[in-house]
Amino acid sequence: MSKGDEAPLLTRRDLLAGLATTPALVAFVVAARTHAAYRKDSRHGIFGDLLERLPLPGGAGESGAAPAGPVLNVGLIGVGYRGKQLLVAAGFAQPGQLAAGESLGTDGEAPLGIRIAGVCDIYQPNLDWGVVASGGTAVPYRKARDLIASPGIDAVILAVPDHWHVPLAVEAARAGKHVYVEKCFSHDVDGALAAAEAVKAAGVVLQLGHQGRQNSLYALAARLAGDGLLGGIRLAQAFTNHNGPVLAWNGAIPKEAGPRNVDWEAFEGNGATHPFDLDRFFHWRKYWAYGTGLSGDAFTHEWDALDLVLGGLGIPGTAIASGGIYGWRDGRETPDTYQVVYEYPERGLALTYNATQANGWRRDKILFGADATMTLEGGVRVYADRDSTRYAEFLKTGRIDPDRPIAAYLPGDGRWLDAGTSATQHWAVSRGLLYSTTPTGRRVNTATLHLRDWLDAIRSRRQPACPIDLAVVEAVTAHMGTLSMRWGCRVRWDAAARKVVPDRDTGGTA
Amino acid sequence: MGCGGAEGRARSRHRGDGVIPGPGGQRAGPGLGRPYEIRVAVRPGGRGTDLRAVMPAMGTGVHLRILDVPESLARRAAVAALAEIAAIERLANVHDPDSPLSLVNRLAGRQMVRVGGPLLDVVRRGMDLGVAFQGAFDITALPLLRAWGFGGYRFDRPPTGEECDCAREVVGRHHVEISGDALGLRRAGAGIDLGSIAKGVAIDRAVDVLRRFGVRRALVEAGGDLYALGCPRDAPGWRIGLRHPLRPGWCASFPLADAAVATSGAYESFVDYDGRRCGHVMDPRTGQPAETCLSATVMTNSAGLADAAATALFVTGTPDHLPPGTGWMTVVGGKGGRVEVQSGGVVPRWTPVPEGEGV
Repeated sequence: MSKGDEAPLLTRRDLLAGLATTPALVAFVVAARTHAAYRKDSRHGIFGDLLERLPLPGGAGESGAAPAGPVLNVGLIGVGYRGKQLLVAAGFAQPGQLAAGESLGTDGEAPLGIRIAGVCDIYQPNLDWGVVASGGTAVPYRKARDLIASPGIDAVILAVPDHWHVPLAVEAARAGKHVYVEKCFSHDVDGALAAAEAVKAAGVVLQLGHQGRQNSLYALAARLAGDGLLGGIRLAQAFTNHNGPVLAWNGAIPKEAGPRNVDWEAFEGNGATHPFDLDRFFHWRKYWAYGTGLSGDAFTHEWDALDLVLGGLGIPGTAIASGGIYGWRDGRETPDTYQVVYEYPERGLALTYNATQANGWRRDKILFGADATMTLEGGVRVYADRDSTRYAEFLKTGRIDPDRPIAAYLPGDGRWLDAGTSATQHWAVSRGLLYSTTPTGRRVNTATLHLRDWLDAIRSRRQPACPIDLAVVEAVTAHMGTLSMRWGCRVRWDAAARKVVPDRDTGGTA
Repeated sequence: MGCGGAEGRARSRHRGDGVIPGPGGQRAGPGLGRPYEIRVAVRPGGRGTDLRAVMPAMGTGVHLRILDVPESLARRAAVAALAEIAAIERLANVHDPDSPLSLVNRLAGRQMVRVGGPLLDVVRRGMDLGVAFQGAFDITALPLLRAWGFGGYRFDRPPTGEECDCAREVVGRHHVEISGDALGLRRAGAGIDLGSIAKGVAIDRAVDVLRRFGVRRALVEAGGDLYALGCPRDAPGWRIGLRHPLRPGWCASFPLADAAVATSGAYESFVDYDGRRCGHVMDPRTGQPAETCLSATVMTNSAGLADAAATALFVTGTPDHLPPGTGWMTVVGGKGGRVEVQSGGVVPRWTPVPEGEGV
């Protein structure tokens, strides 16, 4: 073949437009095959339109080319558990990790076009780890303020305890540095509002670290819900079940850790004055002075998914929550069992959530619509409601079985296979979606995609996927639940005063 | 009811207009003229390149993987291989009203169409395999598919015996006429469907292209049929899963190297007539949907042969007609909704996948 014979590679837009019908339709044939009549209905009946217009799950694009624009100098503040994960997601790791077969988030993807120009941690081994992982390019900092102030830093990633998110984000914004900050956005409501002002005034790009926003599964679910497959959704449920010490915020404390290599004063901040305590330092999520409890740490992941699927929840009208320490009586302050009900009167929706850190059962998020129910966890399944008016004719004639999904996207396997043989194209549907898939079936680290989205937003001066206004909604929503639990009464959002207040109209006693 | 009666039930998708444009034999142009995506990973540690490509074609997704050749070569080879598949699809796609094969079907009993060599090669191959499989595989079974509500037709009941007989009257290789580079059907109502061979032939042609580019490790898959060229380094073969016919997930897995595999089954495409589930694979000998097993898989040295042989195995339920050197697996229903995998011939060592795993 001569050089001129090679087709020009298409743009992502072209690709998606061209693929829009085929793979997505393929995806939903998975469900169709489980019920005899559905396959025909999918082409000729009420689903036809919807399926033909479904988007291709996952991002697409040509890999291999560095992004346009100069290399951005990024500083990482916090090289702990999450900070290390983000470095790997960004394409940086220690040689030992690569030798052990760990794959970088950018493997097979375009590089992010960044240099890790600085790392900061107040635990010396973490700081050393970050410098090595950066390839030796990073300047080590013991003080976050010094890293932020460095003229060699364009943007910062904040992977620090929750109580430091806002102070460092504000400082970075005021220094003109773009910010990627882990959830929960703030330690309290006022902090979120103040940070928003600072970020907007500075004109920097802030991305809240909800990488789930890049999950193609949720994008697909959002399209289904948005296209009305479920009818009016009036109730949504979400859950977190965690078990074991790590997920219960009791991970191993390094033996070498002590006052010699931990900067306790820098950790406390915010006026806190506790004596040196390694449990507080490494298990900070268990303490209100630093963490935001299950609401800020675990619920916000679920909230993020539901916010995406339901098309923007906004700040809830009210919240009522309770919780207790029942499973881990280890001196912690934040409950290991927690439940909350949010009401969104304006959109006619209630959202319930409960969580435990003493059980690991996996539960689906569930969206209850007047015509159908969607389950969402590792896959999307939609079941017609027995009393649906929309599907009444199909239910009556038995062409829809309410016990079988009318639509499903069931990725998940394929991590151990190269291909599959089947009667038709089942394989195209089922190849792995551990995090997010491209049309080629490759799994891509969502944190990599989320970082890329942030960097693209910086380069093109656009809004990122989880921008500052959404960060405020996330934080206020999370804190409403926490405040309700801690105050022992229902709370509401006073939009005029921009405060969370006890809901005295319903008999609140605080 | 006479043999024109079926038309009373059916809505013809395309009415013949007597035009004979002779579009056949066209090769892919400078570009594929269709969307596709290529991604290349340069694997760390000197482990070479890993190219993956996808293209929607043949009513499904075509997936291509190439290992361990320089990136630019891999890209050129991938585009050329995809072009080969796209070319076959353009010729043989019965879902495209403008394809040469659709035109041949539309003009059945009236005129021949100049379709060119590549399509004729596929048709001849299909006819030969029809003989080899003693009628259990037949590229002229399209009238039966139509009668049962496939191929763009819908009915509210299965065909009567008389309607089946009418369809069978126009099934058979003797209705096919080839003259020079022209293809035609002697009887009105006759039709050719290459759905059980074209994917395989296209895969074989794509693999030939890859070989000419010097590729030695690749996987070409289209709609569940595939060819494993070589295998990844340090592996006994590409890891292939056999789709579970009743549930999402897999019922077996096996390594495959320098061989093709294809699976036939009715679990993806069927119609329901008042509780009677009728699959889209027809037994040309009886005019009825095949019901011998849940799925049939054949491994051999050619994807085109595997494609047709899997269909024949599904129709007959017996491997007796398979040529020497092939391997086969059938999945049959077992107790309590479970399935049983049976195998024989030159079949790779396969491993059952426990229920619920890999879903």
